[in-house]
Amino acid sequence: MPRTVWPLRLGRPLVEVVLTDGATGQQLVRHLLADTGGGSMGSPFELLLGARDCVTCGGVPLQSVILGRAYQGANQVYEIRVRIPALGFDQQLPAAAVASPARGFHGIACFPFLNRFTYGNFGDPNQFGLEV
Amino acid sequence: MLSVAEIRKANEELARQINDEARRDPTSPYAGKFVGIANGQVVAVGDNWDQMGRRLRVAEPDPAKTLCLEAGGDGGAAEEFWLTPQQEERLSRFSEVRKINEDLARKINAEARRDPTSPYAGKIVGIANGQVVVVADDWDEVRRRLDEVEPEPLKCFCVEASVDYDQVYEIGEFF
Repeated sequence: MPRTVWPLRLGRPLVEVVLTDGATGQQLVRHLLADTGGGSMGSPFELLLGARDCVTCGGVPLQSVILGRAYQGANQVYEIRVRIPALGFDQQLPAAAVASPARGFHGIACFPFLNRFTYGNFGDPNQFGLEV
Repeated sequence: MLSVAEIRKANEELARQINDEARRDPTSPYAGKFVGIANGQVVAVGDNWDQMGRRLRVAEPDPAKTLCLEAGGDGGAAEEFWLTPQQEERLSRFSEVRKINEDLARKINAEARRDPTSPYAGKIVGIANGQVVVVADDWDEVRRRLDEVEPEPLKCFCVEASVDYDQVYEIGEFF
């Protein structure tokens, strides 16, 4: 089963995804904080990304969602292409656009996204990874 | 009375101004502070998210009408994540069709939530130029069909028909 791991960033679990610029086709590597506490399986979004990335990547708008706590307010959701090449993962997913992703990261990989995979440190406390 | 989308736009514009000011002028009353905005006005300023959030909720209990930022902070409202002026212009160019699409999406959402036998119930619905063009179970299929029909993504819209978009989804604090 394919597995890919990344070293922790700022002591936090990291997931690296590749987005695609909708106009140029350029690949954009984005580092997301892996947050199993972010959202739930019923959440209508799987990632939080900067609004700029959502539009750059040719996102199709969805209805806004209302987020609480750090991202309090109505946030536009976009459906965008997300890839993790090492896992052969390539899907369209809903991402909520926020003004301020977590410090040191480009965004947040929420529980519905992480739960598509087997996730964890796979025995090494200095890394985080996904497996399909 | 302003719509939620208009309030969001007003909140974002004010947030951008506050962030600009805080970055330009370290003596700004907002510099390094956590700022809560509701209905296009600053209603709460605090030294941390909790303090500001408590004040904000008292001032405006409806989170759909609020926005928070860490003014001038390197991890707060970092402008690199915000829409560029060109992107703002693009969004505004398609705002009319966007509104038509969004209104239709709301009707579909209401119907599917009210009536579980609706053809939209539990489905993802893709809309382009005010018309439903695809009803499917997965995002890939929806996007494929939308791309065939309308290459400009901002003239399209999607809705997960049975989702409760009025619910508040909690996300933790990472600053």
